[in-house]
Amino acid sequence: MKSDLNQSKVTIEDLLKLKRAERPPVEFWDNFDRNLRAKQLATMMEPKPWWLGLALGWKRFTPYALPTVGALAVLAVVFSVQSVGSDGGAVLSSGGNLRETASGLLSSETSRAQIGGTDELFAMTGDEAGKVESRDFEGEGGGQRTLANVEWQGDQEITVGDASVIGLMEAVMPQNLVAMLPGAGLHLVTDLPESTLSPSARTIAGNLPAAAEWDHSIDARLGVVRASLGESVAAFAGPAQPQVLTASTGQTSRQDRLLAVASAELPGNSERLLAGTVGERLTHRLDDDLIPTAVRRLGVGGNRVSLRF
Amino acid sequence: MQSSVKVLGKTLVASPERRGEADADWVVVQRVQGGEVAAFDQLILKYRERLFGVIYNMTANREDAADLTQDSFIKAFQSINRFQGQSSFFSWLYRIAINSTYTHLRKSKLRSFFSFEKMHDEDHVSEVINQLADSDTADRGALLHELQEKLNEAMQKLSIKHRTVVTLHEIEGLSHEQIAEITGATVGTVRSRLHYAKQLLQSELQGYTRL
Repeated sequence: MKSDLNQSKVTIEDLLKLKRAERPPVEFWDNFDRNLRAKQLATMMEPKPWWLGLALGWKRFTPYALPTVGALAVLAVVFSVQSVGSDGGAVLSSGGNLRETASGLLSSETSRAQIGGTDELFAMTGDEAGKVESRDFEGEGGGQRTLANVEWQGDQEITVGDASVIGLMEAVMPQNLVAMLPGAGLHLVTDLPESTLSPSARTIAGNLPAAAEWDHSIDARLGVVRASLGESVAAFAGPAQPQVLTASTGQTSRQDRLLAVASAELPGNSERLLAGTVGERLTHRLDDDLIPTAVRRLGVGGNRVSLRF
Repeated sequence: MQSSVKVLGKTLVASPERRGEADADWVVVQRVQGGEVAAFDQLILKYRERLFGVIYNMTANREDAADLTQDSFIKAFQSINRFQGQSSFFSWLYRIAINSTYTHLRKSKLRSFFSFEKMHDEDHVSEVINQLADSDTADRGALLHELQEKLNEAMQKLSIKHRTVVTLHEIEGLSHEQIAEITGATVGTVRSRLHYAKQLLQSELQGYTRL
């Protein structure tokens, strides 16, 4: 057949255009329409699988969820790094019974602070039977929201949520109480230069003068809060476990803090600091590997960081 | 029909007309989204032949093409509430059809059963046949049949992506930009695929064409 062809005039495009002429007959479309209608009806009658709604919902939610999850992940990483690596962080002794001490603190009536008449600015409630301690804050709208959760899953596992609360705590709590919370800045707002404060703490610090102008008694009441919380910390710390929790400002080194603790134990006799049991304890505490090895497990889930000691 | 195909080709390529077509479709889509389900029939009537043509030229099987065309319309109908009008309905529908066809062809890779439509003896076909055949060739029908077979064989030797580009550009008359929008490839990729596919077809059909 090829010998019959005049090859000089036809291009590949011409040949491909021939395909346009390949069309089904008219009656084909009657059958096509009938089948399509039947399929349409069957689809409309067919019950949708239960997971379809979830899948579609997730698909719609995904564009908004991804940035949120990403931001929370970053927050969690920053928070965990602060908790484990920061020199300004809380020093948690692996030898102490954290559950006892913190539960004692959280359930203590003296830890309830009243600021601004009947408004409860900061309150801590303890759940002796349960495993979750929660701290609540009454916002402007009047509703309470949980600022932080402390969970005890074993004797020495602590989980802290919502790092944004730290700024508020820094503003109203005495530093040795703030030290209870891993990752806390551990500074009193009024005691430190502004550059060292977290953004939320800075905001609170900025608002405090305005609040003081409006309510002249706020300074006095903040003093009461600090004093009462300080008492509660002193009460839980007790003579039996004087060094379970210590805290200091971000600028002081761990060695300084430990020296301060030792000095408190042996007032007026710094020469004997490195002698005897205190010296041994200090030597032990000065081991740089102590904190990393004390944290046996670090878990990040959602906006929560979990530390197992 | 030949002229209507040409008109259709012009409609698809010319952007102001294409925009007008997209606007008209969008109005109908909004009616369907508003609950007027019967309005979807207008879209079916408008696009069924074009869509069938694309799928048929990709699968080379009439029954598969009919099924896939119907499935594409069903999928479009089911998802019409999610169509926001960011692209033309035409592109969106073609995208659904192309994706369904890809899935089908991948599943039935080993099966090679072809069933062809009759090639209508239209002006363009006659012209080509006249050019190919000597004037005294009596059996034009035989030549047409042979040509159809060879063309389809050559098309099936192309990869799915190359076949898609050739079908959409050379047979359906879509522009490179439209094909890029439908397939999700860049215009450069579309051009490159088209060039490569035509080279392959040229070598397969060299007995019938000039370079």
